[in-house]
Amino acid sequence: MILQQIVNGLSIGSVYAMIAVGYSLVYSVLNFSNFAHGEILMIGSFMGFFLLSVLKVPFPIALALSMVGAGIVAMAIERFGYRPLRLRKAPTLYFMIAAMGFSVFLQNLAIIVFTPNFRTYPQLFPLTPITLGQVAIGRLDLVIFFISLISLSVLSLFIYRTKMGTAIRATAYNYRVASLMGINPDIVIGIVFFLAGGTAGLGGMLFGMKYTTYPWMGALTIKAFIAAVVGGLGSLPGAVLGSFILGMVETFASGYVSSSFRDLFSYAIMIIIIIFLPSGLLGKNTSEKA
Amino acid sequence: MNKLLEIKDLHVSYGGIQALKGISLEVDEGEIISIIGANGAGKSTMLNALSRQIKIEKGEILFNGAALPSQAHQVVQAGIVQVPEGRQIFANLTVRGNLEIGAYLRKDKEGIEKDIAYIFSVFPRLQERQSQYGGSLSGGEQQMLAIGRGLLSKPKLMLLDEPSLGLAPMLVEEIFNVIKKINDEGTTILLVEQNAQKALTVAHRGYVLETGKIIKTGHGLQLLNDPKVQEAYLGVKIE
Repeated sequence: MILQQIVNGLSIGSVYAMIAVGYSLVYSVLNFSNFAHGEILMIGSFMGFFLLSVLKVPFPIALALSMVGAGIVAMAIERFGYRPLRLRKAPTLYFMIAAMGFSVFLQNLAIIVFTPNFRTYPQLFPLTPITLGQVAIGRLDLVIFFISLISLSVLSLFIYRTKMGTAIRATAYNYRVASLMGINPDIVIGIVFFLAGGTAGLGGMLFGMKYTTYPWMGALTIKAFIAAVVGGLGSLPGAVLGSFILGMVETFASGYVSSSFRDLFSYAIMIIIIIFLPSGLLGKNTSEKA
Repeated sequence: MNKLLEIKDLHVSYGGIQALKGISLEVDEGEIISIIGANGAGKSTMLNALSRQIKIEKGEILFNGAALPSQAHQVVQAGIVQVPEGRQIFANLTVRGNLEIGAYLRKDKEGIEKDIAYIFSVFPRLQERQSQYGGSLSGGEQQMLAIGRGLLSKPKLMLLDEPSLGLAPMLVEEIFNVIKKINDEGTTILLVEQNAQKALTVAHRGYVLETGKIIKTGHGLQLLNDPKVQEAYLGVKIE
């Protein structure tokens, strides 16, 4: 039973992690929480759905295309929504309001374009679980876990091992000084949004495969946001740590207490963290958590 | 001598206050130029205008005979690097990472490695600490790293903003020796300093900035011996 819960916790935690790093990446560079992140996930999820069930594209290609597609949407939002604010040196609050605006706009646009129906992805993997002794692991869960793990590893290699990754970290530390090194902040921020959007799109597809796809599914990312806050907004290792903690707590709460109390536990953790560790488990010290 | 930098009638306003009121100066290739002046005279404003960190109101800046590009990162591309006041080391990057990011615009991997090795030979302490985070260094080490990071962009002109600020006298000596060395090896230097004594000793020429205007200019030693400069900036009492 415990082992089964751990497996479930890892599985849900890995999806949270993929979405949480997007919140954290954007926060690290622009110091605001991009509340349109959930809608980018939704768009990725719809892209995956149409690619798989209408265009009958093979799964890996659908995965790649919805990742790139969501990344481009995120870049476009930055280019036309946030960059003008940035160039005018607008306060963080304005970015958040703009993000909420995009969130509501995209949700309603999706309702009009896609109709407010729940869509179910085609069955890609057999439903029979793989059993290892006492533990049953769903094939889909396994696929989801590995896709998240691979994408997180690739992302961290990019951030911590490449020149552009170093430029992103430098820009996150100090945008102005980064420009003194010859770094073009517009390009770095564009890439950050592409990465955040791409992982969100991937997460959207995984959510769509596991559950369903619908225009207001972006609300699901609130859990990933909690995970990012718990780990420390702006910290990528923090986002991953927070996600696995949240995944574990949620599955254990559902398994041993009651699934109706699950969210109570997630929010309680966030409140406790905010009270006692305002910058999260691994976060840098920030005065304001927007 | 070839004119490297030419500033003509530069005006900059900063939060409603005129910080620079028509400054003109020239820097020749191979020179060390020191700008001295009190706090708030507009020294850092001038460097930040050159690095395109702040907008200029009026005036012309020519670099290498061409108009200075309008964006910060393009200025670095053109060959001007600023070593900012307060070092501004990336605390979340290692010492080596800081140096590598200094070479962000360069593509020649071998050249970068060679230059990092050179920086390490000038500042052996940085080599010992190359895998530590920049934030863990002392003030002096951070200043060395900031200079090394600036050099890695292979600048034609290096802007140094108060490199001696907050350093122990021995370290100040070391930093100024390094500045001379960098200059000997071909980098032109525009230095902004409150330590007028040191700045004018090392400089070929100097400018005295007072409330946004240049009030005096001349050779380093000439300014150093100027009674007005001595009284205002060197603390010498004139009877």
